[in-house]
Amino acid sequence: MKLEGGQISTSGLSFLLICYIFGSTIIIIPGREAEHNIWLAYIAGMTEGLIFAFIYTTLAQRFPQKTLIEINDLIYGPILGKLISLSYILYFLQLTALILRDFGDFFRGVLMPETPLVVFILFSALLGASAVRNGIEVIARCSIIIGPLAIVTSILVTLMLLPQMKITNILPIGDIPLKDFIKASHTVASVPFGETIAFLMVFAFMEKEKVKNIRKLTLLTIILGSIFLLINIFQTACTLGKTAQITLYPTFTAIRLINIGDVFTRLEALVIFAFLGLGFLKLTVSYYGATLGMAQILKLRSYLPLVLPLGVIIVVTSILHFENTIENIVWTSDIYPYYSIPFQIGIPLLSLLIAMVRKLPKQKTGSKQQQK
Amino acid sequence: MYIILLFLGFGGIVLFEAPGLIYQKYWRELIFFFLFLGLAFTLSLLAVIGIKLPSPAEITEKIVNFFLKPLSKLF
Amino acid sequence: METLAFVTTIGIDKAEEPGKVELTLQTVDTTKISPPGSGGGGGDDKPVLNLKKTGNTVFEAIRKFNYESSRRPFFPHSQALIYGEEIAREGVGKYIDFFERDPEIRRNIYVLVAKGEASKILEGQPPLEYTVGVSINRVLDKYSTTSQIIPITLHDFLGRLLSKTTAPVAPIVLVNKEKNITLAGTAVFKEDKMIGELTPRETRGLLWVLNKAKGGIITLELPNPNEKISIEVINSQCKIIPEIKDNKLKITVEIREEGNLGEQNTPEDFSNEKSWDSLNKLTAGVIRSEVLAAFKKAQEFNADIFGFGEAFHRKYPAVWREIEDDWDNYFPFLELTVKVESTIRESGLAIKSAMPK
Repeated sequence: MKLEGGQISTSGLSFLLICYIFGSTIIIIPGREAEHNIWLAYIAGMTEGLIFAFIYTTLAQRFPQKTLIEINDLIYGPILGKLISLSYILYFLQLTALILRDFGDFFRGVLMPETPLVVFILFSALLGASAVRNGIEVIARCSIIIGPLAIVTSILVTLMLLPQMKITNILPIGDIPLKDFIKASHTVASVPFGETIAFLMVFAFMEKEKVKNIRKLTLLTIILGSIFLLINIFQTACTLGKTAQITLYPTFTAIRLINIGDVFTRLEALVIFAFLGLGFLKLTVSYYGATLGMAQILKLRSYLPLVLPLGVIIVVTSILHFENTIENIVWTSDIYPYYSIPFQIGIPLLSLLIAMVRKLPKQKTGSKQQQK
Repeated sequence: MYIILLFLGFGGIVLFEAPGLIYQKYWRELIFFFLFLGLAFTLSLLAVIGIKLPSPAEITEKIVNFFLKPLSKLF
Repeated sequence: METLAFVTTIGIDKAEEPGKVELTLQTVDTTKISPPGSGGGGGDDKPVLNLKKTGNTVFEAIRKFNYESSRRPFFPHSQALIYGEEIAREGVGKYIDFFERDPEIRRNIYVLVAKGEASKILEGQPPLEYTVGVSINRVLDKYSTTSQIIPITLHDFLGRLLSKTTAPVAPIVLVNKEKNITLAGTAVFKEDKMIGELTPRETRGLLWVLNKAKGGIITLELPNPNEKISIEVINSQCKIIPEIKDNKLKITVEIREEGNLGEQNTPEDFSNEKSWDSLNKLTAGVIRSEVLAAFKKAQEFNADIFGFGEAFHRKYPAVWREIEDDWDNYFPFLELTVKVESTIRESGLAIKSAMPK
């Protein structure tokens, strides 16, 4: 009995990755401490993110059709491996809770300030749970619809904001202390790019004959996604200028400025829908990773019974995390980039090194899955 | 009021998952399902009756600062 | 719909009680909107209602409207935010935060300063419109017909307020003798306090440099004081070139303007290259004098309304770190060179004037 019977196609993986990268980044725009050099920080962050992705995908190709949990078992042995896997599962659970919180805060803030936060979080979590129950194949298919929609929306928004953009807002280039710059770009790398570690739970379900392409495909997709993201960063930075520093949700604030002949104005409702789709997908991937991982550790025959209980835990922790929105913003920029270092780069790099030194996996071909 | 909703919600989850697991004789899965659900229920019950639980953010903040403080002195 | 009062204009004044703020909201009074065909309307009975409340903060005052109004003030359609002169001179910083924070307010809303009290403006007569907000909004949208008023949205204003060097500005609105609402001139701020005014002519001087003067009429004075020529501005482009030489800060402004000959009340024939060229020179001279007049005022106020500081920042990021905090000591001694290149393209449907010589 396999835990996950689905398979994802190349396009499924690509769009899922793009949506994942856009995810909450597009709403909160981390790395704003770089001020008008934010786009430089994004380019640096993206480069760092590509290095992360290179490590993850090298691992994925070395251990074909194995999830992060199985890879940990093979590299660190059953006991230490399980401990590391457990810490990853906790990280994924927390990540899901954080994504839920970001979107909950956003929707409550811009749509209905009077509605309790838990309502938004509960409904998004329920939506996520139903997607997770349907398996990775369905999640990937959702992204094939939502991904292009989000890309088209962001391009349209950028075009409509052209009259408001001032290139002088992002000049002069590079007058930023190196320390601030590194911090901003690492924040950028850790928020969407490092979080792609959750895809090590997904790569295992690539169509069998495509396994060899994972690295190339992932890196290309991340570059493509980064370009779209960068367009959005440019757009927001050029439109908002200094006021990007005082606004909670820069992209949203910028979109509200759209006004073309009094006809194309007040478009934020449309864009909110695109945001909703992106948030849903990002949330689903890490939720899926946590649930599947837990089922693998416990050697269950199905991960479905864990979906709802873990979902409730996620909802509760999501609310427990922060007492208010500002705490969320501060934590995301001051604590999270450091806190995520072991999960995003430390352990994966160590795993890869050990695998290379010990020449793992031992039998390269014909390695049947143990759970079968 | 909220407690009633909570009970209803968890009752719903049990009714949704448990019969299928019992029917398929997935005992191991059933045990872990109830284990996690129990944990989830405890957490949400504590939250609903207003007991302040520690925030994971604060815990991680303490851990990060523990490592970061000595590091920042180096630079 | 029936629980909301649509706010079109927000007026903010100093309250009589010290430290408090007086808020005037102009709302659309839906009970006075007669159904079409009922033969109502006419007269001065416009479907607007002005509500006034005071409070310690803007938000507190807004909530007090609910004491008497059964409908909640609803802001997404508000068009103009008007600060009374007195409160503007004391500083608008305290009273702008709410509008940046509240999700109902859009950053597209225009910010203005009233000559006198803002509440008086709301009582004025918006010519050809029902509400003051809509009237002001449309006038500012079409500012380039004269280019002598500056459209400033909340977004622009906040951007200038956040800049360490660039001074905020806002158009001035007043009620004239006929009780009509008019826009004239520009209020200049230092930090968040209004410190002076620009005349309409100086305002256009500012707009040339901000690259916003895309229209308007330039009147040329000829040697004979009774003879005048009007040039219609079609387009203009401006380039700001900062320069640091021997520790002296210099700014060169290069303006390229295009225009049409719109009207002449002199019999002179301009349909030859030489006199056509003389028109170009005269136009350039007027533009130059307008820019210099605005610059002189700005230096008097020591308020960098042009954003020259930001221009230095962009070109000399390294030197800028030393200048930035001391900009107030640099700006009044800044040297400005204005270069104008004017091109008059068309002469309407006429070649020469019919006026007898």
